Order: sequence, then C-alpha cells, then structure tokens
Amino acid sequence: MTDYGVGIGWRPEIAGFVAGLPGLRFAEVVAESIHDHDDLPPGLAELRARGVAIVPHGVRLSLGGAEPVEPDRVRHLARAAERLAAPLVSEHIAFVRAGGVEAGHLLPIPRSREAVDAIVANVERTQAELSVPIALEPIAAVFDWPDNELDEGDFLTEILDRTGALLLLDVANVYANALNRGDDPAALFDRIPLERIAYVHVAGGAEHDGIYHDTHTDTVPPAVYDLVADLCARHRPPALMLERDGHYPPADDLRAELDAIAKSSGYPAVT
Amino acid sequence: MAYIAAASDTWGISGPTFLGYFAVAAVVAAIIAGIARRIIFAGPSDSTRLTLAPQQVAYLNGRENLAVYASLTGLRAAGVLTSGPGGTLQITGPMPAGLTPLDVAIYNAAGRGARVRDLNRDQWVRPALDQLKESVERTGYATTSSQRSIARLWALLPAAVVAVGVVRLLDGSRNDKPVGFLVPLLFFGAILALSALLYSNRSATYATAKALRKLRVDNQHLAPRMSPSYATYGASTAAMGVGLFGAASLYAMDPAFAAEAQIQRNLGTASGGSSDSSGGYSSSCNSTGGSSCSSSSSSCSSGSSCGGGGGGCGG
Amino acid sequence: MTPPAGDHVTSTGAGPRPGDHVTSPGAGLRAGDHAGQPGGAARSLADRQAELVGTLTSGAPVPEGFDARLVETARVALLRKRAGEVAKAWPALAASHGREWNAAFARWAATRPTQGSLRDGWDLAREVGAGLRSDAAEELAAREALQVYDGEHAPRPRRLPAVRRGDGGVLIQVAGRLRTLRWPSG
Repeated sequence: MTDYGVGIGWRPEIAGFVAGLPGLRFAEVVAESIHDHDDLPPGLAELRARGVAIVPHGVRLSLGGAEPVEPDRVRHLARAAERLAAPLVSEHIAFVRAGGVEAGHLLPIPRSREAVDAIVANVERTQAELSVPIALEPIAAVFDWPDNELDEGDFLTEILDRTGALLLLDVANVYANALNRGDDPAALFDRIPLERIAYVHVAGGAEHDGIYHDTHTDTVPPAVYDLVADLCARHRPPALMLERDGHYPPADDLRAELDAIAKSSGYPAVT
Repeated sequence: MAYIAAASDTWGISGPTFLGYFAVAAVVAAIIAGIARRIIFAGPSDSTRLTLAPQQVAYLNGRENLAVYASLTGLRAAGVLTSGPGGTLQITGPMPAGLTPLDVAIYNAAGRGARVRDLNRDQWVRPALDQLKESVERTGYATTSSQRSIARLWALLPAAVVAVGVVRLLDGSRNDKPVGFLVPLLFFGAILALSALLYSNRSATYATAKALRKLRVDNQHLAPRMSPSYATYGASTAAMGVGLFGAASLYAMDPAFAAEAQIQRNLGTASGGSSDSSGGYSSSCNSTGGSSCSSSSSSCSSGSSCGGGGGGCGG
Repeated sequence: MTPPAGDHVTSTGAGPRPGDHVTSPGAGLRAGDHAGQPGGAARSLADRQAELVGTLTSGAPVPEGFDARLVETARVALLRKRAGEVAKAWPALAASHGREWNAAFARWAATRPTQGSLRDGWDLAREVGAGLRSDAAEELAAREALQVYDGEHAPRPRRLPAVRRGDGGVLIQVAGRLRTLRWPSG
C-alpha cells in the first residue's frame, strides 16, 4: 500500500474544512452516510477528483454478530467502495444488533473461539462481495465479556490470519482499553502484526467516573500522540487520520491536531 | 378568406383576426416588459466581481428578517449570545471585535433582553437595517423602490392589452358574437400580465441573483443538510450559511438556540431554490426507505462512527 | 417485529422483546456458564448477544458474569448518546425540556430500543401529545404533514397534500414542500 500520510475523517459538518486542506491525500467517510440512489455528498467527488483516497468506513454491518451479515448492507458497502474508487473499506470487530434489536452502539464481542468463528464467517461473506481489501478495527470497550479465552493480541491475530483482512488500528482505542484495564498500551504493539495495518485512527476522549471514554468529541490527549510516535518508530503505517465525530472545534484546533499527528508520525503536514 | 358580412364584425375586425392580433400583442407586451425588467434590474455588469458580505446576502435572500438571523448566527457562533425564556435574547460575553453595525445593535438589544421577533422594531436595530438596505441598494445589489415602480409601469403594458381584450369581450357578447375562443386567450394574457407584475417586485438584481446562485454552489458545505459545524467555520461563515440557505441553516447548526429563540424556520428557504424544500424539517434520508437509512442512528452518533457527549463508543 | 410503544410500560423490561427466541432471564444461567469458561452448548452466542442488547436497550438484568457497574456505565452512556441524536433531529422537542432533556429522554428510552433518532423522537413527541410546548407541537405537525409514519415502519414521504395546525397558523404541504401560514396577530 502506498504511503498516504496524514488524513482526516470526512464528516458533512466539516466538509468545507476538509476541502480546504491543501496537502490532504487520505480521508475516510462513514459508509452509511452515502446513499445508493443519491449523489455523493457535496465535496466528496471533488476530493476524489483531487486524487484524495477516500475509504468507506462501515459502522452498522455488525460483523461480530452471531447472525450472518445482512446482504443488503454488504452490497451497500461494496457499492460505496466502487463509487469512491476506494483503495479499501473498513469495518469494526463488534456487533451492533442482535435478535432484531439495534443496540445503537458498537458492542464488544467475546474473545472466544465461537466468536472468532462467527466474525471470520461474516468477514468472508463480506469479502466475497468486495473488489477491494477490508480493514478491521478493534473497538474500545467499556466492559468485557466474562468468558474471554484469548488475549487481545491472539484474538486479533487469529481473525486477521484466518480472513486475510487488513488492520485498522485505533490508537485511541488501544489507549482507552489499556487505561481502563490498567495495562500498558504499547504492549499490544508487540502482539499484533503491525505490517498489516492499513491505516490508523487518532481520536480524543474524556474520563467520566473513572472510566476513559473514547468519545471522538474531545481533544486528543498527549499520551495518544506518544503512542502514535511509539507505533511509527516500530512500523510506520501508510496513513494516520484524525477521527472527530462531534463537538467540532474551531478550524485552528483541528489543524493543530492534524499537525500534531504529522509531527508524531514524521509525515509531512497537510494543513 | 373573404368576409362578406364584415360590417357586422365587432369594431370591424373579424374574430379570428382579433384573436391573432391579441395573442401577438399580449406576448410582445410581456416580452417588452421582460426586457425592461432585465435592463432596470440588471445590477452591476460583472457579477463575478461582486463581493457580498454575509448580512448583505441574507438581506438579498430573505430581506430584513433573514439579515437579523444572519447577525444572530454570527453572534451566537462568536459565543456571546444565548436564548432566554419566551424567545428573548441574553448576552454571555463581551462584545467581540469586527462586528457590523447591525451586530452591534442586536448585541445591545440582546443586552436589554429583547425578543427576536421585536428586533427589527428596536430603536437601534431599525437604523442599522436601514443602513444595510441602503448599502445593498447603492451598490446595485438590491433593487430600489423606484426601480420597482418603473418596472411595474412597464408591467402595465401586458395588462393594457388584456384590458382591450376585456372590452372586446364585453362588446362582442353584447352583439351576440361568439367569444368562446377569446376567454381562454384572455386568461392566458392575464397570467402574463400578473407575472410581469410579480416579477417587478424582486429584491435582488439579476447580477446579484447570479452571484447568489454561484455562492450557493460554492458553499454547499454550509447547506442545512450538511449540519455545518459553525464552531469550525467561524462566525462570519456561519452567518453566510444562514444568508445563503435560510433560517433552516441555523436550525441545522444550533437547533436548541434556534428553537428557543423562536426563529422562523422557513425564512429564506423557499427562495433559495436549490435548498431544502421542506423548510429544514426533512430527515437526511427521507428519500429512501432502504436499510442503510431507515435507522438513522448509526452504531454510534448520527451518521458518524462514534461520539456523542461523552458516550464512549469505541469506533 | 417491534412491539408497539405502549407495551413497554414497565421500567425494568422483563416484558417481551423483539426476537422471541431470546431466553428468559435467569433460566439456565447457572447451568455451566461460568466466567472464564466457554458458554454452555445450550446458550449460543446469538442468544447471549441478544441478552446483552436487551440489557442495554430494554433494562433487562445484567447477564451473569458481566461487571454490572461497567455495563451500567455503557447503558447510561448509550442513552446519553441517543438523547443527543434525537435532540439534533427534534430540536424543539429537546429544547422544550430544557436541561431536563437528557434525563427525560433516558427515562422514556430506557425500555425502548432505538428505531433511529427520527422515529424515537417521533414516538416520544406523539406520546407527549397535547402536553407539547407550542414550538415542539409545530415541529411534530410539520413532520406529520411531510411524512406518513405508522409507528411501526420507517416514515415515508406523503404523496398527497396535507394540512396541519401549527403554532399560531397552519402548515400546508403540497408536493413535498411545506408552507406555513400564520394567523395575523400582535
């Protein structure tokens, strides 16, 4: 995969800001915000024409669900990738619905053999429809399942090995999980195939009642930039992007966060 | 074709001949009125060189009320304004730098707890609005009342043609002549005359309207359906969004404030043409019932992969 | 699939949930399903995922073995997030509750899994009904004029013109466009 450098999550709310980033070569769009029968959201086609790679990022496929993924949702993701001429797509190692009920949230799956089998089957069903690779993103979980058989490293490695999928690593998730479990965040880097990382999410969070929430609506804490630098010292991923999903700050603050990612990773600034 | 009984024709003109003259006269009159409008309302010759400030855009798009809303949006984005009970305003910070006269007047009115709907009658806001109106008229962005009067005079031309037709109708029916074909033609002429009058009432000159259309295309990211983040774009850009796309933009950017300040949601939206036809009420996905859309809450916050008020999501 | 909103009146949702194959809470939980061990054959991953979703969206008891405090944290965070989303789709409805919005929405939504923020707000607004503040009532009226919503399926655009009472006026929808006529008033 070619090096794209520093990117940003394209969101409608900040489309004008993203369009104004001169050095941008990588962006991500929430796949569900693209509707099959409508035009692409204003600005996305222009970015594409500028040569910015745009990756559709699914949030509702429910790959980790015990039930098979819904074919319509898989087709929608594949269609989005085609319309954007995306180099890859991404989704989460999580489930969002069960028994026909929407959770409204990305929920963790148990790190069990049964759950690995289920998600591997769903990833394979999805890959069958896709003409580009898929990257899987582990989530930050506020709670764990009681019956974890595998540790995080083995769990991820097994899913990636069995599916051939790429990894979308969210360093803010790694940070959140380690903080909430009392582990060393960088320890996970030794346990997962870093060369399989397609791109990296960098996001902010906040602490509520002693638990760090990966909100994507707060500023990126310094420790997360340190983690970015640590990761890039071991193996620099082709792209690292700022993921902000609400409470958007002034443009200068967003630029400062993009510059901080550039500085920690050694990629050129895009602002 | 020869008409033996020509003498008995109303006004000595045969029915078919009159119908022909009448139709041609009505269309020509409407075209002349239209050309006159084009000339009277032309505006500055080079529309690409127009530089329109947000409140001017708002005034041109939705007159005084939308200009007030654009100013409120700018002040709100600057973080110095909030809503109080009963649609009143309150200030929450010192007056920022770089305000327009209208901003200053509204800021001061908010300091006195004015209601939004009373703002354009406020003793300080009123002159600021007049000043804004004067600025867009002087530069040729907006039509002046005397231009509109002249355009209305030209619009009387098709009306005069219709009047002749009406007299002919009355005379003809008094003489028991068939007038069946004249009635629909009169109706057609009346529509031409009426639209000529309505078009004479436009607020933006043609050059400005063209500039506004281009601004809307160039600023699609400020359209209400994008829920633009005014914190990111800044006060002046947020005001421009409201000016271009109407009050629905303020609802998209700051729903709680817009609702509490009792902002009229439809203002400036209908004339926007390309903007949201439902006055900002439609959901982002009302056009489809498909699976990707029917449950608009994504696994995390609306349409995005995560976030939402410290919810913690892990995407 | 979805039970009518009125069915969920109890605060702890032991009532029926969509997808009836979900096992009743308590039954068979101790059969061999201990923390750190693979789930018993009787309880599939699907059942246990549905049970967890039920806990988070319908107020069902926390499944055995989970950290109840952390699951509760996630449940509360989820309701807070939903409240924010619904406030975005229904600004007047949320504004009419003022600072109480998050709490009020959470009370209402605690036993109702999300149907998307548009429908959640719609259901809540209909339930409040005559108690809505005038601007929130108009917000509901506008939506009702624009779209058909049966409370069970995704709202669809109205094909026929519609007229609804608004806040000091009427809302008229023709061909998907909404007009507001205000009564002249002082």
